[in-house]
Amino acid sequence: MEIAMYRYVVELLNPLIITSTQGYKGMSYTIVSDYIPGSMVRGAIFTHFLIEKLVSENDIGLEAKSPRHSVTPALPIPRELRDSAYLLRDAAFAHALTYTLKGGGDTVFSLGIENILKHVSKCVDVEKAIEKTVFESSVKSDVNAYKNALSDPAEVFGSSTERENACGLTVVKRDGRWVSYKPKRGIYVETAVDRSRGSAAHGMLYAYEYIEPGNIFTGFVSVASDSKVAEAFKSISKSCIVARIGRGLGRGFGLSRICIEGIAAFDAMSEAVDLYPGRFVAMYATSPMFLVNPMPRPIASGDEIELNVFGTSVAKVVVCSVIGKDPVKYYGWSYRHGLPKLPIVANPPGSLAIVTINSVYNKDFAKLLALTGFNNFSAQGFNFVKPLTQDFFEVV
Amino acid sequence: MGVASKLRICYLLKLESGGMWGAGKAVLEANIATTICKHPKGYEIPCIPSTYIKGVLRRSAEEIITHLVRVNIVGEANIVEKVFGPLTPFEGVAKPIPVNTFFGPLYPVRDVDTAKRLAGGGEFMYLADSDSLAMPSMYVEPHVRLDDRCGRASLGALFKELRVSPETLFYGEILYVADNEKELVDAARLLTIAVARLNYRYVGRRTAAKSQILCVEPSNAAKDEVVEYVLKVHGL
Repeated sequence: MEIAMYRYVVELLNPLIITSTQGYKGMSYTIVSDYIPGSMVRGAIFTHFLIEKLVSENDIGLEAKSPRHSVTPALPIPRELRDSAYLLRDAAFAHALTYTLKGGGDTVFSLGIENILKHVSKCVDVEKAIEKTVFESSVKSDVNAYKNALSDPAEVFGSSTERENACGLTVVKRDGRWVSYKPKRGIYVETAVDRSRGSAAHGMLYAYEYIEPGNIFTGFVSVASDSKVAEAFKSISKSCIVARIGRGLGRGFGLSRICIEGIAAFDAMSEAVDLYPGRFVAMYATSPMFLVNPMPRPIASGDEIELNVFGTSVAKVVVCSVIGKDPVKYYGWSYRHGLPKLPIVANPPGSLAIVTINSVYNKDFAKLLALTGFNNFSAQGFNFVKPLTQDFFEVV
Repeated sequence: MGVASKLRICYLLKLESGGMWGAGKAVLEANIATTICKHPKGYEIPCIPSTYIKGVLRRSAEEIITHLVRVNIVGEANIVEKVFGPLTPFEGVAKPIPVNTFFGPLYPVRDVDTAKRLAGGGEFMYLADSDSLAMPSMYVEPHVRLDDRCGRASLGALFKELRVSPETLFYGEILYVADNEKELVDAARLLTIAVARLNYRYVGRRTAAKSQILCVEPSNAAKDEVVEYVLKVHGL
C-alpha cells in the first residue's frame, strides 16, 4: 500500500464560525477553539469534490464508511509562514507538561518528557515519575528565579508559583522558541427583522463570535493509494480551491481558499522515534484522542491499543498513564442521516499517554502515525499521535 | 442528494444615494457608522455584509414568489427555502439543514471594467484580489430627530451618520448548487429577478442603488429565456 501525503493551507476569506456553545434560541454563538477540526476541513474538501464532480456521491459514501484517508486538524500559523510552516515542525498543540509563565511573555516551556521517561522502568512507576519531575522542576525553577531576581528584580515574577499549564494551547516556532499563537477573533452583531413590520424584532439581537478573515491554518492529509478519493486529491494538488467551512455558510461565513501540495512523508517525520518492544514512549496527541469501548470515551491507564495505519497493524501498546486536561466533547449533525452524530468524548489535543510497547509489526508505518492517525477515526480528524521520547519544547 | 450543476451570479450595485449598512457602531466622527469589513489581506474597507444582502434578496424573493409560480416562471414555491434556507423559528432552535447557496459580501471596486474582469475570473476570487478593490470616499451626514408633538427639532437630538458616497460601485457574487437542471433554472430565474428588483427597493439603510447583473453561469442558465430577458434589461 502506498500513501500519498499532502500539506494543506487554509486561508480564511470571510469570517469563520465553528460553533461551540449556542445561546438562548440559538442566537449567540461562541467559537470552539483556536483550530479547525479535521472533520470540518474534510467536509469542505469533499463538498468541493462533489460539486466539481471529481468523485461520485456513491464513492464519497463508501469512503465515509471505510475511510482510506486521514485529515489532521488545521492549526493557526502567522501569515508570513504561509508557504513554509509545517504542522508539528512549526505549529503544534502545547502538550500536557508545558506551561507559560505569568509575566514571562508567550514562550512555552516544558518539564521535559525525557525527565519522566528516565524514571520509568515499569508501568507502575509512571505516576511517581510525574510527581518527581514536577517537584524537581518547581524547585529548580524557584532557584533560577531567585538567582535572576538578584540581578533583575522583575524576573522574580517568572517564578514557578506563577506558571500556568499550557496543555492544548496552539503554538508556533519563532526564533527557535515555541510561543503561543492564536488566530484573531471578532464579534458580529445583527438584529432579526420583524417580517410583518420590516423593523427590528423585539429581543432578537444575534451575536456571533468568529475567526477573522485573513487567518491562515495548516495541516496534513494522507490518502492510501486504493482510496476512492486518491485521484481527486491528486487532481487538486499544487492548486487552490475555494471551499466553505463551518457554520452560517449561506450567510457568507466560512469562505476559504484551501491550497494543497504533495509532500514526502518521511521529510515531514524525520524525527520519528524508533519503536521496539518494552520501550516506554509518550504518545503525544496532536488531535482529540479516544477509544470506542463500547461508546467513544477518553483513553485511560490500562487500555491496550492496537495502532494501525489504514488497516495495517503497526504496534500494540499498553497505556500506563494519561496526562492532560479534562475530556472534551464533540457533537455534530449528520446531513447524510438527518440525525445528530454520535457524541465523542475524548482526551483533548496535547494530552500525553505514557505507554509501553508490547509488540511492533511495521516500523516504517509507525513513523507515520502523526500524519495518518492510529485508526479509522483519523478520517474525521481524531486520534493522531506522535510517539516521543524527547521533548521538542524548551525544557527548563 | 445529487449534484447537477453550479449556478454563479455576479452583480454590481452602483449607489444612487449615500450608502449605509450599519450595525449601530459609533466612530469618532459619527454616531452611527457603516459596516467596515476586514479584508483577508488585513486592511479594513466598507462593505455590504453577506448577511445583509442575503436578507434583502430573500425579502425580495418572498414578495414575488407567489406571482412567479402563478405565471409559470418558477415551478415550485419551495425554491425560496432551497435557495435561502428555512426561516428560523422564533421558538426553539432551528434544525441544521444543508443550504446550497453562498452569498458573498459586496466590496467596493475601482470601476466597471474591474468588475467585469472579476466576473470573468474564478469564484469569489475578488475576496483575495485586493488590487481590484478601491477604498470609497465617505462622508458624515448630520440629522436632527424631530419632536413628534411639536414637529420641531428635539433638544439635543443632533446625530450624525457615516455613509459611503453615491456613485460607489459594489461587486458581489452568489453561488448555488442545484440538485437537478430544473432546480438550476428555477434558482437562476428567482435570483436574477430578485437582484434586478434591487433597483426598486432599499439595499441598505435608506440606501438606493442601481443593480446590474454581470454574469450568469453556466451557459444553459444564462440562455434560459427568462434569465436572458432579465439580462437584456438589467445586465451590463
